[in-house]
Amino acid sequence: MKYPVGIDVGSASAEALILKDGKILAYSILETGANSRKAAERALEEALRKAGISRSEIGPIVATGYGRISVDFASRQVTEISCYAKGINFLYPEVRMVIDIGGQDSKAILVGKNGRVLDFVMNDKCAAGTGRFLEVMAKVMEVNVEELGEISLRSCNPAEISSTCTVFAESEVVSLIARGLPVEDIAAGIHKAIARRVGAMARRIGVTPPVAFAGGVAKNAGVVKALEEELGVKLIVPEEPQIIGALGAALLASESEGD
Amino acid sequence: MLSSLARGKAPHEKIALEFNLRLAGLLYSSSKWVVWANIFVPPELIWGLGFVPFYPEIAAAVVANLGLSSEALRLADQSGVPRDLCSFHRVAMGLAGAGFFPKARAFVAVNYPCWTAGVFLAWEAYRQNLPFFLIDMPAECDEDSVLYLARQLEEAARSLAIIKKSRYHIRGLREAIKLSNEAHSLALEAMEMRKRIPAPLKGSKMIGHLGLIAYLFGSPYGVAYYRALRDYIEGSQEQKEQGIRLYWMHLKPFYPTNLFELLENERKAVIVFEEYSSIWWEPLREDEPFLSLARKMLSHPSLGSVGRRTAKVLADVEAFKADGVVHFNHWGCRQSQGAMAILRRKLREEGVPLLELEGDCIDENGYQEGQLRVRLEAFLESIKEGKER
Repeated sequence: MKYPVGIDVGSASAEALILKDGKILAYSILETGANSRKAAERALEEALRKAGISRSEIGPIVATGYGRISVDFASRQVTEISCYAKGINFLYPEVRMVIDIGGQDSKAILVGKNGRVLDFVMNDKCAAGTGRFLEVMAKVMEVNVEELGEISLRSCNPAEISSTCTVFAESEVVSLIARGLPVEDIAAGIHKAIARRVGAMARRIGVTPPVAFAGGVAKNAGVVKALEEELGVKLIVPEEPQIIGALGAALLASESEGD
Repeated sequence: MLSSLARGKAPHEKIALEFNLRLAGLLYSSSKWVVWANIFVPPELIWGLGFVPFYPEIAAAVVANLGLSSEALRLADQSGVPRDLCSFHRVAMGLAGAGFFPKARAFVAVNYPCWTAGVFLAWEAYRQNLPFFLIDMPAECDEDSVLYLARQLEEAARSLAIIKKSRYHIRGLREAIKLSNEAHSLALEAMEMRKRIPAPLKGSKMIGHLGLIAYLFGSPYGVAYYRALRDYIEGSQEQKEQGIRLYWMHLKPFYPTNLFELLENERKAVIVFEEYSSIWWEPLREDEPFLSLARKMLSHPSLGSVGRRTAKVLADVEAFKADGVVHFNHWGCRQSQGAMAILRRKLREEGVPLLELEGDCIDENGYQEGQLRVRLEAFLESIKEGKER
């Protein structure tokens, strides 16, 4: 028996996921670094190690994510839009919309039955509303990006950050720090700014509950809270939101195995 | 030189090339009378009065195609043109200000649906101290509007004749209308033939001809072009492998990109028809030139309620058996995007997949192929999956 594999090479992280009998056998999450192909190789090796199987035992590989084209050892490449829809449908068949905030882009996908993409929208050519936005702001605030979420949850009075442009928002945050605003209020304001941006994007295709939130930024509890408030819905966050693309890719690989 | 440029081209493409070279010669000839106009001014009016039309918006597309738009935009920036204006007009403003455009004798602009073009031409007329005729276009297509518009067209025609110091007579206009109708009839035949499965033409090439089409009606080249196109379509299938059939709305990036290579060659999708290739108007009447030109202008699907445009798209999608629609959202273009929310909702209600591609037709600086690629591929994947289920 051959194990189908999905590899998602994003701008910030690369994930590989191996399926066995329609269930997740193992997965890996690594930083992408400068070379997408090498990141895919490393992620695959790590997932194989965790699964305790060898490379000769794997079947078709579907690559996704912005670096999918460089994964030349994959059987085929599929966009992350299709893979996110497929992956979320596998875990939560009732979900009708999935929002993904990744390292360099964000997207909202309307998901039909069987994980079919009904419509989708992506952010345009800027860092606003992406993980990169959070990284820049965390750096200005001199806190770890991983801590930003927890810090923001202490806020009762989120700061107002009016600009959606990362560069201008950075200046705003600098001036808020200079004015002595509490760090938790600034962090909550940053999350609110992201949520507003992503919320506006999702509304273009119509927010349709149940809504799931995936991608690396879904691990940030502050963004989850802000996005729930913005959209007025409770979000479903997978236990490991970063592997949804790789999961969808592996499911597509398993379908092609059965062709 | 012409023969080497024309090598490998289809007959209608050769005519297009010949026309472009001839047009360039006419525009830059000191003996010709050139009228600058915006794209909604009917070419029949200008050819019919013995002038040569010059559409700066189309010149901007040509400049982008030659890879020179960045330089033209820099000229516009230096002269203080706001950067949030449509890049078609920014390029035109940059080049006009630097004196690259042909010498004008007069300017004619229609103020709706694209207002920026009218303002640009008014400014150029002021700067060059030349006559400017603004044609106020109503939004509705009723008889009062037709009369109102026809009166303005007639007035503009008489004034242009005075500028030329020639006697105004209707013969030239009737001749232009006759030529326009001949081209119209052939274009309708060609349009009908494009409904065929498999599609006979590569739509990406036809989008490249949209600017040319704006010039052709009322000129003998229009008749030649559409006759050659119709005859060519008869036995043609330009794209051998064809998968998903797409209907293309609005424009495209005119600078060199791999967008259509990806769409047609890698993904085997075929653009079966383009919104602006449509022949939307009824044949014109030689005995009522101004009234029928007014009717042609007012019946344009992009005018008035968005319901007109939506109905046209849905009818075309059905007629051309398109699996989905791609709308290229050119940055800064209000007239094409202002009602996208309604268009999107209506297409969804009718079960027609729509992809909105964000980009700029002229300014290549913001072009990011990866972002367009992922959208296009995801769109094709979703249509394919929908068809398979």
